Amino acid sequence: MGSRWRGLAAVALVILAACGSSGGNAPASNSKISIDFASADDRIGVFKTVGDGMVSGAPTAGVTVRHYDNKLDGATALANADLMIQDKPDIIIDWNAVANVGAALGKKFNNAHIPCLAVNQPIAGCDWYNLSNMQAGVDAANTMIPLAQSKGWTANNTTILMVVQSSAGVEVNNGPRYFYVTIASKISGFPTMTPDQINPQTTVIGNHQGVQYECNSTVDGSYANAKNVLPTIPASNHVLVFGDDTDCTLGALRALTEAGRANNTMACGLGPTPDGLTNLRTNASWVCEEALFLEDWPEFIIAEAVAIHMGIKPPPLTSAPQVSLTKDNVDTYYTGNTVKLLPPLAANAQYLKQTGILQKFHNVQGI
Amino acid sequence: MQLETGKVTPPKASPPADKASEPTQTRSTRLVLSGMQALGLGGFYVLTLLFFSVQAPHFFSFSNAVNILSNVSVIGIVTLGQMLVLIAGGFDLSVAGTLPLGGVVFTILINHGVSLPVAWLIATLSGGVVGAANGLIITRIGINPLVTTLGTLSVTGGLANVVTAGETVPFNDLNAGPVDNVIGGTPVYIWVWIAVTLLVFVVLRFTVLGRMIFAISGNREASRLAGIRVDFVTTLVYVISGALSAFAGVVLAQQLLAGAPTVGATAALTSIAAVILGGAALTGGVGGVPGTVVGVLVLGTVANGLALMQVPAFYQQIATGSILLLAVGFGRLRALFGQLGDR
Repeated sequence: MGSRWRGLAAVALVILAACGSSGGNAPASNSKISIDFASADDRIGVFKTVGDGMVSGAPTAGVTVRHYDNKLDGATALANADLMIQDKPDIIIDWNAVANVGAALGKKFNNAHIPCLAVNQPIAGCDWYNLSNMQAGVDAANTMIPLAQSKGWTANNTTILMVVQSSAGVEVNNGPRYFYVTIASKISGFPTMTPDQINPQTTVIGNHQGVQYECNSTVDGSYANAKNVLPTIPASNHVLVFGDDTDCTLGALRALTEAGRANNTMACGLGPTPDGLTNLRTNASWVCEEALFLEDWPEFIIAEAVAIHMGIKPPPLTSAPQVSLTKDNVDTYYTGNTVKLLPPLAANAQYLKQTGILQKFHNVQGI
Repeated sequence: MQLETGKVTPPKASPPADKASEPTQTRSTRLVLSGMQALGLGGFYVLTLLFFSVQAPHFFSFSNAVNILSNVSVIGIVTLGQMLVLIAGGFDLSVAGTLPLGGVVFTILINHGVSLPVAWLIATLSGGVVGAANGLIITRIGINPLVTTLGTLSVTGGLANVVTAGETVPFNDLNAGPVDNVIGGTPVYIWVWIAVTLLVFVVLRFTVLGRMIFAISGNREASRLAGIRVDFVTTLVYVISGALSAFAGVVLAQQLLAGAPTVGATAALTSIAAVILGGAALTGGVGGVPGTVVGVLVLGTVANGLALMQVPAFYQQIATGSILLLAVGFGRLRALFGQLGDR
């Protein structure tokens, strides 16, 4: 028995040693600001991009970053909060994508007296960096409305398909929600709804003029659920699709294409992702891609962290760069899948110039 | 050709089976083997601690020890219930649904002004009801535990989403979570886990109920003939498992200051893994609280150490899965060697 367990221990330690090859970051020099960053979920590409960018962008920005993964789980986020507090960094940046657990996280950070910055979901007592999902939904709608009207699509022959992720909370789901609300306000005949009236339990609006289903975070999850929902939408109806992110929209479009309905579908993603950009450039059904420039969020997040460390008080919300990509303007901002240029800073982000961080990356219009 | 007729000679009776050749394990043998696995696992745990003390920054500190205990306290409570079910010869997948259900029921009740103890009790009982359903379906209708608890997992998980409309519900009063307070530098919920662990240990080791739980896994018919109410005891362990999971959900809700319907997705597999690591057998009849606690600590410590070492999440998955396979494989070898030793 003893020798077997010694063997078990040896094998396990070999595995652990092999997995531990990445090790940790080098200790911060006295002049570098130390940042602990917990990403939303490294298993999901769009979130992993930001986490990886934080680590890879740290040397350029002149800071050090330790990286944790919240795995889209509130309990894991709490555990990571304890680990980050233990590290005693200059600032903690937390991207907890589970809505409404911010109070518990904020309590920990505030009790530890470590400045904190919340990304995406707000955390009580922390400054806040976020995109505007509402604006993304409104922009997507405003892109689609003239295109749909030019083809004679009306409220009588069109379904607005919203692909949501309820567990991500109200803010994240504002995109599809305001997508519907904006279209309904500008094309007569759609049942008028306030944003509050569209909630996670909404499935059908009117006479299938609005349909909502759960994305389940992945293309496959969205695809599987879309296949279940499509038979409920009249086969002759045109479809306007917008999801919480590009993967959600892609899943829906895949199901619609399989059902032979791609020709009377318009889709808009939110990312962008390489798939989204490819579809925007090559797929007639894909008319827009709301660009959040997540791959460049790290420089903005680091800049805000440095600003906080410098004693600058940020506004209640610092807005992320955001633009609506269409077939006409995509190449202004992207070369292939690589960001070429970022739009000018939003009004509430102008203070970031004072940190000098964005200047080191040479990719923001106007800086 | 004429067939011979004549007396029919009855076949010779087979000699009585040599009792020494039948594989049997006495209770003391099972306890010794379980203890040896726990001791072996304990040694492995010490090696793990040494490894991370060298490799991971901040690992070897009081604050990190508190972090590890904090991380495992909720799953530790769930695992105690799972342990009882496994010893009795079953397993309970529905804990992954009962845990969030307990949390959201508690949150909704306190947000509607119900007192904390009453809300806690009702939430815990809700898990007990789920457990009772599991037990009755398994014993009365005869559906096996895998299918039964898979079904109730889906039902309870769906219920948790229905009552919250799919959203995480925050506490109206952010001071409504006493377990988040600290005693002796240690959060109250760790003491809660310790207290529940001691209670389960006493029940399993020193009460008649504990002996009956071990007995029914081995030979249900023999247990019934010995006067044990097998169906009742089976149902009771599922009730306890469900209640403990819901109880753990309440603890977690107080940590999160919110009732989240999405938590606990991995609770079933993690709790089963911890119990198996601690020396229990999937066939039942073996296991104990000390080994289970060490199993929980191993899993929690590995997760903590790998996070401190900044190991990417995918490698963490590989490491955790590898450890589970090794532990289960060694458990299987232990059972085989045990049988050979008895011959």
